[in-house]
Order: sequence, then C-alpha cells, then structure tokens
Amino acid sequence: MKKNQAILITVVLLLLGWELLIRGLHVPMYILPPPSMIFLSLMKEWKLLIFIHLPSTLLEVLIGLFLAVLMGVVVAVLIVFSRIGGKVLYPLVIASQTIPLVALSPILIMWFGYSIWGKVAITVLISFFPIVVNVVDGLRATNEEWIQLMKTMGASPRQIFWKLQIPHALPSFFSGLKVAATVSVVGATIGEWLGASEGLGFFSRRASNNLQADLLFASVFLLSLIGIAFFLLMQWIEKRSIPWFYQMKKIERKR
Amino acid sequence: MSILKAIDITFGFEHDRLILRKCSFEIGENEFISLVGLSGCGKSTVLKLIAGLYPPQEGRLEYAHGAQLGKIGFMPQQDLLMPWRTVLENAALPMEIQGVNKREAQRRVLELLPIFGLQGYENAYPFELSGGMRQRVSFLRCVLTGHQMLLLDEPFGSLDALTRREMQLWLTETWQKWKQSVLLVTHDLDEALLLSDRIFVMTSPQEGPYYEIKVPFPKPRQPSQVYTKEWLDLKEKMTTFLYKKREIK
Ligand SMILES: Nc1ncnc2c1ncn2[C@@H]1O[C@H](COP(=O)(O)OP(=O)(O)OP(=O)(O)O)[C@@H](O)[C@H]1O
Ligand SMILES: [Mg+2]
Repeated sequence: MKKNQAILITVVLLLLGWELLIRGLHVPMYILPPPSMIFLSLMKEWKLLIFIHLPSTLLEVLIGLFLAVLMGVVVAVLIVFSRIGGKVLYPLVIASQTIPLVALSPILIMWFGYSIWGKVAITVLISFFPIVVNVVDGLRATNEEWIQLMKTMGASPRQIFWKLQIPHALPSFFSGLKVAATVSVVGATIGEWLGASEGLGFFSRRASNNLQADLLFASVFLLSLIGIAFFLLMQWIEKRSIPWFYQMKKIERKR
Repeated sequence: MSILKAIDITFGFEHDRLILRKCSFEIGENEFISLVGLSGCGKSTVLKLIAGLYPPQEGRLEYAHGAQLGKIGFMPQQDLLMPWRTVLENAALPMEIQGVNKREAQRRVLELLPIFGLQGYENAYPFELSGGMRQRVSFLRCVLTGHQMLLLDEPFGSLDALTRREMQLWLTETWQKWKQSVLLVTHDLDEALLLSDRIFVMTSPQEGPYYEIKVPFPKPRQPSQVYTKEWLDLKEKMTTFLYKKREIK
C-alpha cells in the first residue's frame, strides 16, 4: 500500500511539474504538449484508439511473445545441450540482434505484405533474445556436484534435465520473460512504424508526420500502459509458478 | 565377505599430482569404516571414485552388487538439497528416480522423519531449516536410497558439538539394524573411533594401501570412553602419522 501511494504521488508531481513548466515557458504544442492536452486528445480519440489500434497492437505482442518464448527456450536448450549449438547457434543469435530493423522493413513487407506477420516477426526478433540469454545462463548454472549426486542415484540424463536443470533454470527464465514482455511492445511498435494500416505504432507515426504531438503522446501513453501491464502479468505468473524462489529470497535477505 | 574391493587404484585430476597411487582396500559387508585425512588430501574424491563418478586411471573396483551408479548411497559434503522441493520431496528423490510409487515413497520418508529429528518439517523448504537440519535431510535422503553401501562425506560437519555427538550415538545404535556397509569421511578422530570397525588414515598423495587402524573397543561405544588411555593412544597414533607424513613433504 505504502509503495503504491509513493508511486502515485511521484507520478502526480511529475505531471504537475510538466504542465506548469510548459505553460510557464510557453512551449509550443507541436514541440511538447502539456499532460492536460494529451489527456484531452486521448478522450477525443479514445474510441478509435481503444477499439481499433490497441487490439491490433495487443494481438501482435501476444503472438510475438508466445512465439519468442517457444523459440527462445528451444534455441537455448539446443545451445546448452548440443555440441554444435553452443558453437554455431549462440553467435548467430547474438548476430541477429545487430540487424538494423529499419533496413529490414522492405524485405519484411515483401515477405509478409502489410499482414500481421511482418510485425510479429520483428516482435519475435527483439524479444526472443533476452529469453535465450537467460535460459542459457540458467541451464548452465547447474552445479556439477548436483548432477553428480543425481547420477549416483542412477538418474538418466532425461531425469537430470527435468528434475534438476529445468526447475533450476526457472527463476532465470522468468527474469528473461519479464524483459521480453516489455520489449515485445517496442518490437510491435517498430513493426507498425515500418509498415502497417492499424495499431498504436501506426497511429503514432501518422500523428508524428502530421506534427500532432498531443495524439502522438496519447498513443505512446497507451503503449507504455501495455508494457507495464505485460510486465506485471509476467511477474504475477512468476510468483505463482516459483513461490519457493520468492520465499527463499525473502529469508536470505533477513539473514 | 567383502562388498567392495579396490585393487591398485591410481587416480589424480592432473597427472603430475596424483591423489591415489596403487591404493588397495576392501570393505566388508556390514562393516563401518572411517576415512580420515587432512583437508584437501582427496577424501571426497575417493568417495566419488567408489560411487562411480570418476573412472580410476589404473586398477579396478569390484562390487558385490554389480554396476555402481545407482547402487550406492552417496551423501555429498554440501547438503545439495533442491530449494524448489520440500523436505518430503527432497528425501523422496532417490525413490522417485528408482520408480517407487509416490505414495509409498512419501510413506517411507514420513516413517523415518522422527528418527532424524525432523518430525513436523515435511512440508518445510530447505532454506527454512538450519544447517544441521539440512544435513540431516541430506542424510535421510542417502539412507532412503536403500542401498547396501552408504558413502557419507562429513555427514555431521555443520552440526554443533552436542547435536553431533547425539547423531553419532544415534548412528551407532541404528546402523547395525540396517545391515548396510558405511564408508564415512570425517575430520573428527573421536567420531571415527566412536563409530568405526576400521579407520583408514589417508595421506597426500596416498601411495599404496591406507595406514589402517582396527578399533579394538566393543560396540556400541560410550562417549565417556573418549577420555580413556587406550582411546587417547589411538588418537595420538593417528595424529602423529598424519603430521609426520606432512613434514616429510
Ligand atoms: N573436479 C575436480 N577437478 C579438478 N580438481 C579437483 C576436483 N575435485 C577436487 N579436486 C582437487 O583434488 C584435491 C582433493 O580434493 P577433495 O575434495 O577430494 O579433498 P578432501 O580431502 O575431500 O578435502 P576436504 O576435507 O576439505 O573436504 C584438491 O586439491 C582439489 O582441488
Ligand atoms: Mg571433502
């Protein structure tokens, strides 16, 4: 409760300061609109934003994130458990993060047209990286002594994988998932900037081209809300999936 | 009848620094043996060799009960409990791996919990327990492998002196019933004398067979015997041996 209050007060103060500064310095609307203007345009366009553009961005994020988790986990397992995987796949995954996405856009449009899949592709490209890196770290962090103990119990590699390495990597996986959930919104937005006919990214680009800063900020506001919502959702799932990890951290902090 | 025969074992992680050279020993059925030695001389490594985790570079190990992995109970030096499993689930792990049905496995754990001083803690997580309790869970897990031979790596290492003595006495009474052979690694010479039929004194590197002490006192032994002359003499003999070897090096 205390924490939420503090956050609320901070946000209100920031908005107030912003509003006063803009009004005091007579900053023109197209440079930086005050929060009140952003709120007004949000009210004006809310039907369009909430019923047309938000769902389309949300869908891209959901599909992209789902595929990113699937691919990220599979690729991470290949990297850790196959000899070629670690040598070839990991450098490739890292290289994939250096692709300038803007340069990719004509190709993506050629491949997928203006369909949702071009946006999904960029979302996946951005958000599967934190998952791969974290799952690889999590799987590699399994202590050799632990594996040895399971071997003396007669455990097969399969049992070692499912009973030791997977649960051991879960906290790390969830760290990656929280980052991925947040950047997936960025991915979908970039995708829409590069070519789309709807979505919050598309909307913000149009507003930007028309120098409608208030509309631009209104859509950015909604995008941040999606990002925060996804982060919180993942955190909620994490707390329910690995309650022992939270308890352990709490007790260790007290010691 | 011996449960394990080690014949001319040579082993080292780096070949210029051997841990064992042509070391032979035998462990009998229902026999309790302690392995003592200075820190870093390779006691844990010997246990892992016997458990089948490392192949010896030379020589061979002969087991009365066949292939070794999955046939010997091993209690590691660190407790290595899984933080995502409760006490009950941790202790049941070896049976789970053997394919024992879950209800039966839990029944066996619950049956032994009171003997290990863990009654009422079946649903606790390892991080909620003290170091000594964690060690007892790890010990219980080892016993529940149900194997004829147990390898215990400093099972009482992180217990306070009083609890440790209590566990030792408990062990002297119970292990006879289980008819298991035990190889116990320890730093504590009193512990070795209290529990063992024979004591292997290990040097670094270990050349040839272990210096061996046959403990003459009848079992079960009493903690008060620790102050008798015979006891102290044996202790001195081992201490002198350990440190003499070190000085020569
Ligand atoms: N997996 C390994 N790889 C390389 N060297 C190792 C490995 N395990 C142990 N050693 C080395 O072998 C030697 C013996 O180690 P070991 O753990 O068996 O000693 P120990 O007698 O059990 O010591 P302590 O009483 O402190 O537990 C040490 O010098 C250690 O550094
Ligand atoms: Mg050791």
